[in-house]
Amino acid sequence: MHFSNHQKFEECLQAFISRQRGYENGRIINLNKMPGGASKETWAFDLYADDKTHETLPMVLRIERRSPLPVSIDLKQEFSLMRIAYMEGVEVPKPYWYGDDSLGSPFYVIERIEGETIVKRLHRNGQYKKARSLIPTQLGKILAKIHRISVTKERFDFLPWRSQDGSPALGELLFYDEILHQYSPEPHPPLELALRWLEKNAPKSNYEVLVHGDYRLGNIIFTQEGVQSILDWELSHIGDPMEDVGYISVQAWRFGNDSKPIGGIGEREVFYKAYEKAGGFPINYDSIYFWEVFGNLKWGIITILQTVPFLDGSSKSIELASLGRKTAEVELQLLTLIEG
Amino acid sequence: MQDRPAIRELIRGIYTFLETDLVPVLYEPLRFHTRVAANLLKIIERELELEPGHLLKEAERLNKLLSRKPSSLNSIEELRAEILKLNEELCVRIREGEADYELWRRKTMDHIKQTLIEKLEIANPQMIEKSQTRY
Repeated sequence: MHFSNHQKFEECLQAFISRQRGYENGRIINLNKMPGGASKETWAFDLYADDKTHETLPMVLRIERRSPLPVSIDLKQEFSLMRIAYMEGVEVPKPYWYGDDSLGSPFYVIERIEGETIVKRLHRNGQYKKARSLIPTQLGKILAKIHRISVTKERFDFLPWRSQDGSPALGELLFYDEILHQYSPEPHPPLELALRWLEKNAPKSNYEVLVHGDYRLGNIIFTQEGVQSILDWELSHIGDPMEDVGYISVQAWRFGNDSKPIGGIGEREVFYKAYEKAGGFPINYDSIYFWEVFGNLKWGIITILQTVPFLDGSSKSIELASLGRKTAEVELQLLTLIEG
Repeated sequence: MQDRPAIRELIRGIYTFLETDLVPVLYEPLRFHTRVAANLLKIIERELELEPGHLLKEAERLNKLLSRKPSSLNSIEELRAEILKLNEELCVRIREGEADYELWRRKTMDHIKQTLIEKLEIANPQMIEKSQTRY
């Protein structure tokens, strides 16, 4: 079932909401498609929940439109994870409902958080000057909170656990190695060199924690007061806490501002100190270096994966097409880091 | 032979139109996507100019690195197929650990770096310096 018809889509969503306990009288207003999303579509709407209080809830619906990247968890896993994170007091939108099949594809409904997501605006606009100075510390604190969520096999049974021989790093590496060779249409000698280097330098870890997996400025909602919400949990898994600590400094996530290793706005030490002070795991610099290299490998592989739907004709997105020509810049950065 | 404008002139005409006429009147996300499209046309423009030379050099370096006799090729398509084959072989040898040790490690790194620089001369010249930023 595919909705080319906006009205039909809204009717089905309305029917779905009317089946939710406590929201039987909820009315959808202002349903609008939002830009962005490679494999998911995002819709914003307001839910007029109650005739007595005139309460209106800002909502977001995310629905799968194409098969997700083979490295991603699915919408249901992501939703389950956001529920736990929300319960634990992590800055995430309040999760409402995971969808049944009433819209044809998997979807979930979460709270809509007001704010900005475009990193270039954070970098450039004067109104975000204060936010730029706050965010590195806030990100350190929030990351510590995520990593301190208690992890047991039962509780996180639904997430990937890839650790190999006491090394989550080795497990992640084998996973991405396999993905690369399964999906890449062409050979990539620079990535092979990086894989060898990473295999030899994979750290062990005494800790297995909830790793966000894509922890960077592009995946937060911010305002002038800084971080409001952490989004995009698709690459989450159980692993080494240093993974998220190193990943944030990948060159692509500095958005052109290379001299500031924390998202192009902050210094490493500020972020690391805030993380440790808030109860994060002990900072290990060798391990962080490994994970920054690994993050570049991961992003390099994802640029290849995202181009696949354009190549096989299942997507006509010009943006996905352009990512294929980004792989080389990530590879050159990788080479520079492992040459060292 | 076609009349003017020639391919390169047409490409320049199209991205100039996209950037100066279209982008200013568009809203997001179309504005961003149109910029991406214009940028891809600039990649094509540079590729038309640089690719033949790059292919010859890449094949020559690969043959030397892998100790192969250069084969005589007639078309650019044959050259591409040859490079693909040689790169597959290079990948296998890296995976088997041959690039773990000097001197071949150095030679392999040099070749790969040069190839990436050439790719970026086409895909994104501004990133040649930046991508070599150290930790």
